[in-house]
Amino acid sequence: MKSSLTKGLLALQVLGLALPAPSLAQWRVKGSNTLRVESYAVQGDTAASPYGEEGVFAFNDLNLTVSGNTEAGNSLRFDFAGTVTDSPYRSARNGFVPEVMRLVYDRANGGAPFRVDLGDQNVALSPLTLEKTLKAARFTFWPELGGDRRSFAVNVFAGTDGKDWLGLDLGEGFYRGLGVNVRDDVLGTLGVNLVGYSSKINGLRMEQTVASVYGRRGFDVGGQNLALSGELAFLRGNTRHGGETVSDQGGYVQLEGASQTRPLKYRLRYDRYGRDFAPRGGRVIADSEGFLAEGSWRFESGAQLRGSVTRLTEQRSGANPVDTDTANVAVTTPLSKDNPARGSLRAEVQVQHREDELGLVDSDSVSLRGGVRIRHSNGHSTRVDAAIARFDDNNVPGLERETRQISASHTLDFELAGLDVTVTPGVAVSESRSYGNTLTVGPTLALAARRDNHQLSMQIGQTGFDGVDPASDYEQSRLSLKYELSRGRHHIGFDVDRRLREPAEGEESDAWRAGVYWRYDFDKTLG
Amino acid sequence: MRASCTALLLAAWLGFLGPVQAAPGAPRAPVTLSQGLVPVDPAVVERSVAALLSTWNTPGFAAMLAPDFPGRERLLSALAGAPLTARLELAGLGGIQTLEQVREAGALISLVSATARVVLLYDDAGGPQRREGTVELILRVRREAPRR
Repeated sequence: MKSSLTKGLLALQVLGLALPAPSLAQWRVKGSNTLRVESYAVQGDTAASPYGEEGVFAFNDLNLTVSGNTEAGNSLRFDFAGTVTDSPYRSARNGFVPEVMRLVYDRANGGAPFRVDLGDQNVALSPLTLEKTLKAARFTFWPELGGDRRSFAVNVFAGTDGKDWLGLDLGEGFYRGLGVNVRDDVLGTLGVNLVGYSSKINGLRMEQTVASVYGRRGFDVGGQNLALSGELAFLRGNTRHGGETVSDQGGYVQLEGASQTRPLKYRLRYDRYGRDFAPRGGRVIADSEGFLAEGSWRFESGAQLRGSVTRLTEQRSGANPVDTDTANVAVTTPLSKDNPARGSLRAEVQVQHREDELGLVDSDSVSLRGGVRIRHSNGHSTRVDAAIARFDDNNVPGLERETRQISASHTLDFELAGLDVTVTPGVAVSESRSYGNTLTVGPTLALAARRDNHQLSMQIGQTGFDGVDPASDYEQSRLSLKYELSRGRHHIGFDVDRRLREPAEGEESDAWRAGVYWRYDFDKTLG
Repeated sequence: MRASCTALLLAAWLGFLGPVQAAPGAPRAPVTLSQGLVPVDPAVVERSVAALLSTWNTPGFAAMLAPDFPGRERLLSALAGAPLTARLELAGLGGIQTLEQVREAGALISLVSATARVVLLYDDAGGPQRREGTVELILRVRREAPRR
């Protein structure tokens, strides 16, 4: 299967060569090449370090875009991103690893417009059928039918959701399908999607076919701009490898609105998906039912108030469905109506209750989140973020957890001896209260300096952790240093990162990473 | 650990992507994106991903998610149960690709995908723990046009 896939994809890329090529004078080559060598070393307890492997590793990254016009309005582009590496931190593979390959041809002039996409791309038909990045071949065309009042778009594609070009196996997940979309001045937007999926793992097959119809129609009623939309999808196939063939359906209906006279927007949505409605490429929760009501109001000051209420029922058809009710209110506001750059404030409250039919699940949670950004005069700015979350398991008295987090920092920009300097001291405190209390407290300091082609940055952090068991307490410090020198298109730099963890009991862990790199940016028009 | 992994998986599954405003299934307009698209600088993507991961499990993470981010409440609720010391760190980044790009008044909005090798660090009764994984992230990068 792998060899047939490799041949297939190579054939697709070769097919790309059959597309009209731009003349040499119209080629533009843009991108960057980065060579990096880095060393990882851990002294003491290796299990407590962030680095799983020690040693010296290297990689060379190439990001490249080649583009050109074949003629006015018609264009061709090729993207490539890949690496040559022996670093386990950079890639799971050694050697040459192509990561992104995509060829796009657009024809906007000369007959009906169309586009050909070969390689890595985002295929977003609908959340009920397929929304995924695929390695695929796709043909999109816009037939000139229906005159000025109606436009058509057609998508035909085939590809796989495999993430690795070298290990690609169509048998592990192959999608094919089409989407037809019609936009009509009177009827609104209408369309159909048809997606097939097949996969074979360890001899067990999985096949799915998903078909959907959708529509969206806007209308004005009583001073409101309304839009009614929805999608209904049918699935036939397996929900797991080797499973029996089943059929099921799902869909949603949504009403969006906006007042024509007031700064009010709102939305109502209802979703319902059958037990076996689990499209492999979709983004829905099988066997669920959901309701959403939300609204927002924008004040003249620029402040915005948003609120939502949702109910989600999961495992709906089983003996023990679980309901989750959530209410959320959020406000964001600029600190100055006339100067949004002055800063902003946001606050958000969320209340949630979860409960199942048999009483096995019964919990409440409340969370408050907020933050403020203030840009003072004379290069000063302040940032504060805070969150409090409380969770109660009503089935187990005493099983409560409360988490409090706050972080604050102040930034000062100034010039010193020709250097543009930024200094940001800060502090972060986190506390959790459950059976016992845990606390982390840590100051941080970030420094950055820039002059002409030189950039230097440094970060220092210290964290102290007090756990329920004093033996689990530890102190952790971090130092990061980075320097870069730029000369034209060349950028040369080094960086060092050190983590020192000192537990109250046991062995300390001293982890180092140091790297040097050279990046070359290129942007050349040939001819 | 399960909660933190759930949050990680949710983050990967949902992508750091706001909702597409177009009607479902609507293919993009026939503009010549292949010529007009300006790939986002990989260094900008790396800085953005590092900044995003550094706020994970901190009070600043909510601000990194758009108010209309799909599954936002679910993700934040799952994250609220993560161990206090849990941190996500960027070990390596590759596969950077600018998927789509639209121009709005005064700004260039790009959808960028990138594959990040991440390390999850946390403490439990067994002491310090480390889990390595790979996630595909989809970022919305907004570049303001220079003001005159």
